[in-house]
Amino acid sequence: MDLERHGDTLTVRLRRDFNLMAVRHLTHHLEDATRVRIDLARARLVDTEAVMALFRLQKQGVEVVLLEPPSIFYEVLEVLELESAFNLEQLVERKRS
Amino acid sequence: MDQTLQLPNHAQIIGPTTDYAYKWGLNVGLSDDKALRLALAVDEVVTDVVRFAFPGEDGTFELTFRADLSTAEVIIHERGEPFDPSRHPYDPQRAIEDDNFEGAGFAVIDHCVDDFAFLNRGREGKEFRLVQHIESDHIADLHATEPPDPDADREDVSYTFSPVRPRDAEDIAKLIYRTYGYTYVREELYYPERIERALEQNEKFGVLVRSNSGRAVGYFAVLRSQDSNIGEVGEAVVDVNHRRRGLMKRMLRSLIDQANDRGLSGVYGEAVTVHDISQRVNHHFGMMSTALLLGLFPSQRFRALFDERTQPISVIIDFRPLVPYTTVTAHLPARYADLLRRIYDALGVHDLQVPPRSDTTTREQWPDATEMDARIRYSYNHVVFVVDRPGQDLSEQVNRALTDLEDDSMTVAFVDLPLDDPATPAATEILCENDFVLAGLMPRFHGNRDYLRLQRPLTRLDPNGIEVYSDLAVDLKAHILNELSWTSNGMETRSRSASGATST
Repeated sequence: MDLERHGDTLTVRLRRDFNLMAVRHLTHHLEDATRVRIDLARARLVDTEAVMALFRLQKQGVEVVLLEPPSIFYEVLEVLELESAFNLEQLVERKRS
Repeated sequence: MDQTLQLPNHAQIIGPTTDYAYKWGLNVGLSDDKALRLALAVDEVVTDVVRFAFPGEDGTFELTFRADLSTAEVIIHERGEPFDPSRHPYDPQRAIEDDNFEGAGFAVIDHCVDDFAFLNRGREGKEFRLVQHIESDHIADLHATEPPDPDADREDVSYTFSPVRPRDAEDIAKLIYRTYGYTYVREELYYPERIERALEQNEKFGVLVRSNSGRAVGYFAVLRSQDSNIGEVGEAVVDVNHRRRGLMKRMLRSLIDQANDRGLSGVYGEAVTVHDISQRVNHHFGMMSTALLLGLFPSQRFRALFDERTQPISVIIDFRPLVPYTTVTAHLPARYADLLRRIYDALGVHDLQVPPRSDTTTREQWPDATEMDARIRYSYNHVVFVVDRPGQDLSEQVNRALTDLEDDSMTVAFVDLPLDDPATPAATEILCENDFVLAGLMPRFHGNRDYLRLQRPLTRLDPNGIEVYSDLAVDLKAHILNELSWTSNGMETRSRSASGATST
């Protein structure tokens, strides 16, 4: 996991799946960041641990932005009926062409 | 062949395990999408085990990867804290309002895989079973129609017999489809890709018959057992236009030669009992009936040849040792000893050593936990519990697993007990007290050891729809029906031969 911090924004670039280990790393490095950008371009999977972490970050008032989440992420949200809990327009940053 | 990983309950292993599951899935023939979903399901179970199975302590658990031509299965086995996922359903409202995501992982697993089973094995822990069906192109979608057979009405057709090669796969699938429509029990034969893969991986070998025109008109194959040096003589088909020309017998002769050349210690057939033709052919080639397995395959209607019966299909196990038996030591349960002695005799066992009763062990002498493997055939609705070592919880484990499988509509459960184990007579008694009855002898079936197979039908069958041929098969059927208190009209005809021998 690559990390960059600019002011109160933490940018995380995952090298692999967004799972329990990634959540633990992210939580460990969060400190007082109020904005987190998570680049998921290299993640094949986003599991329920990751979804729970996103939900909790949002609840804590941390602004979360995801870049290029894999399609299975949306499916997991749908299965867990959590679409309404996230504002996907804000959560997912559209890839610039 | 199973691949088993033993893993510690550390979060670091989640990623590599998920990666392995994904790559393994691709290698056994899953599409990228299905392999990915299997990997996510594995991630969810493994995460759950790492987080909750061994609270505050180090533990280990096993992942077993098991595949055949149509199914990829991952079994996660752990011996941690008791847990039953069905008691922890996911509730989205509770998740959003109370930040309580209990059951979320299992909801995702259910969505990702084709079958998800949870087996509570008592003191032996718990098993999570994740199954994906391997998709491939059905022959009917590849080639809807075939040109007419130019040799159909000719009497002077000559045939060539040759070993099956991977490039014959499509012709075999066409032959099956042309002959049986959609009714052939072994579904994988409708998928050229699966046939090709099995041949390439040396999982089976066989013989193909072509007529003058080059059209495939007969096919017969031996499927190698995954855990023993024996093979099943199965997957037999002869084109309806080329029957009664001795092709089946010539193919079987060739197959047995090939099996001998490959050093197999025995071959067996699973002959269906909706008719006795396959049983007759098996006996013509010196196979002996050793077991009657009730409801092994789901209901099928057999086109054209036979009348229409729609109950699950029972089969006779016919076995022929290719390497002769020498001395056999078998702890025969008293209630089945006579029949088992006759079966051994038919198999050419002239030196059967049955240790005295004082050499057997009783339940009190056994370890706490039974070591056994549950082999679930979801598509055939049956489960085989292969016991390696009986423990005091034998009936508890079997019954609990059957309860856990209730939603999977199992038709029959089998238990295989090793006959060289002194615990087998007492284990048989315990299982019989739990509604199991005899199925028969499974010679050299696991690790080249002989097993006693018991069965518990979970649905009632019409005994009159079970047609058997040899004397041994007739006696097996009578014994089993008697144990089950099922009655038949007793119309079976005994073959004219001596015990189990051929009559054609």
